[in-house]
Amino acid sequence: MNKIVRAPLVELRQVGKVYRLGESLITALKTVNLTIHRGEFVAVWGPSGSGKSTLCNLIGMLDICSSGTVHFDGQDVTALSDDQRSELRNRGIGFVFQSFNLIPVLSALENVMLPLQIAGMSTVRAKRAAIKRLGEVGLDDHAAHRPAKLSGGQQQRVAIARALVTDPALVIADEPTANLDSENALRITELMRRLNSNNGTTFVFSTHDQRLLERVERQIQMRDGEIIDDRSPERLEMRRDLSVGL
Amino acid sequence: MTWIKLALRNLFRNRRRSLFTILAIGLGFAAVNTLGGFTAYIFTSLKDSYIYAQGNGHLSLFKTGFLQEGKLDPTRYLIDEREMGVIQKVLARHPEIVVVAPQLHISGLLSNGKVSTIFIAAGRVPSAVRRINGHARGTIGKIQLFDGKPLEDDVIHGIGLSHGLAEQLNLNLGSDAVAMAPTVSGQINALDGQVFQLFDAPVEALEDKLMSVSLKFAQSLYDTGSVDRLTLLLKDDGLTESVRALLAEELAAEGLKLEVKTWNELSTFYTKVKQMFDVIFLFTFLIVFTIVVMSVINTVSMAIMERTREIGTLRALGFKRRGIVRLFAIESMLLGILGSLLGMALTLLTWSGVAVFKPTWVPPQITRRVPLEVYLVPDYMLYSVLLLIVLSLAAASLPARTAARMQIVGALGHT
Repeated sequence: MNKIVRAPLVELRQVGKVYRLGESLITALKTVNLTIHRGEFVAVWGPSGSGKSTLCNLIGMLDICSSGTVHFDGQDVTALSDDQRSELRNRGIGFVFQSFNLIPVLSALENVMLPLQIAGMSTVRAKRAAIKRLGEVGLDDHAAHRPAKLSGGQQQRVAIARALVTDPALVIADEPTANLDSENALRITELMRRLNSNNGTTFVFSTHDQRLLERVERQIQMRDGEIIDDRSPERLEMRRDLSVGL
Repeated sequence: MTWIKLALRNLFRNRRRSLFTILAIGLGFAAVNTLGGFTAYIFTSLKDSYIYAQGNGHLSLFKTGFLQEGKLDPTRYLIDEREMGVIQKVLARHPEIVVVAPQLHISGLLSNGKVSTIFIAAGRVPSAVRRINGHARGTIGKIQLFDGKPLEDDVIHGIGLSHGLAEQLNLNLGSDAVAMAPTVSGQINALDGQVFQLFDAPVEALEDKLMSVSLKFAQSLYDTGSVDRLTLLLKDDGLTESVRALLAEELAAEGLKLEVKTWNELSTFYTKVKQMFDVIFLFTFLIVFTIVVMSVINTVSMAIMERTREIGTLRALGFKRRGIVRLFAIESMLLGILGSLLGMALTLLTWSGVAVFKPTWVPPQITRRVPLEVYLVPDYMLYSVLLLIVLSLAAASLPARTAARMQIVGALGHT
């Protein structure tokens, strides 16, 4: 297992998020402070409406906070323009969605190539990198298939390959197993865990699934827009001490 | 994978909708270009008819003021033989002038021996008119606009009558008639004529009074050697303006007070018909392109609505706002291109159909059937393609910009 480097990758300082719904304001996130380090495998869990998706969206720069600051890799993303955030997302963050969100008119390979082509990479190079990633998720023989021809588990593996193809520092997965049966859910979790261990990619995912939480080293529990439990620091400290001791 | 390939695949996700939009663009293209081709045929036919078939040439020379005051005092504006000589010398310097046809327009009374009625007539040199007719291109030169036999330079008594005039005097081909008119010196003169030909007057109002005579007949009746105009045929229609300017300058330098008029200045019918068709064309154009714009807006808006979550996904993966606009712009541009290609095919099909089946029709002012044609006008086609693509892009820009401005989170949550 990779040694965890304790450089902060994501830092949320006093972050709040308020949505306007007609005349009323809805607080989705109260004042949240959170630091995620490189190489961590983090689960955000809690009941529906607890704010876990909002938290993931703010970390992934899909949304802008109403108050506070979000730093990604040392950079204050709240101060960036929409184009700059798009570039940073493309370069530094991979996304895995609950409903897979593959582009139906593209093959599995073309879906995985997509983030690289958005970045302006040539088709030949993008294809080479995408084939490699598809191989890592065990779908190299399904490269030409359109999403409609793949099972739910296979689609989610394509989505993971797509999330990883740019070698991002962070992968955000919003309920990645919610639409899968338990066998596939377990496989996907194991796959993410393995990629985290092998590549050192930081994973942050939201989930309801208690069984998956058992496989996660850091659990952030949320309720009513607040983090009510973060069991990581102690574990990380322990792991660091153990690493140093070895 | 290129963005064009992605756009093309997106376009055919909803085949039926895209097909109908392409069909709307294609039919619009074909409608505009077929109408454009038909109006081009009408304009060319009217022009050729006036210049060649009716023998009016490209340019006409008159004494200055003739067109305004000529009817009040015709003798004052006649071009005499001395002036004709000077003019002929000037014209001889221009090899681009291929026919010079002098004319004397006359008016008077035509009698069948029992009753008389007024007539107006163009006295022309039949051989010169035939040489002008001979330069006509296409079918217009082959159409004989009269029944009977042609007038001849030296057969002075041969005359042509419009059908209405002949009916009024109960005259037929071969009938004798007497034309009466005051000479230039004010004496009443009469001349026997024989009806050689019957024709349709180019203007309805002249149907009961138009006559056609040789120049010698007109000059004999007016007892003069003068003419009132010279009609010139040029090698090429495109030379009309430049030769007019040159001649005006050179004739003035010779001390002649003459004005040079172009065929379209004299053919009011052509100008009116052209204006009318231009308005019809403009309306058709506006209707067709409104349909095109609305179809493209509908297609793109529906696509955006159906693909909102996909737009959110693309934005999450790093697609910039302008990237979304570009993607939908490419899609609508492809709609425009495919629609234009279909439109070209339909236009060619129509053109081929007309060429093969050779339909005929009776145009206004002509009582006999003539071939109906539709021209292929490459300029119209090129402008139509460009305009349709630009219109498709413009029509897509508003919904595409709306799509690009969507909140990513909202778009991702769209079901």
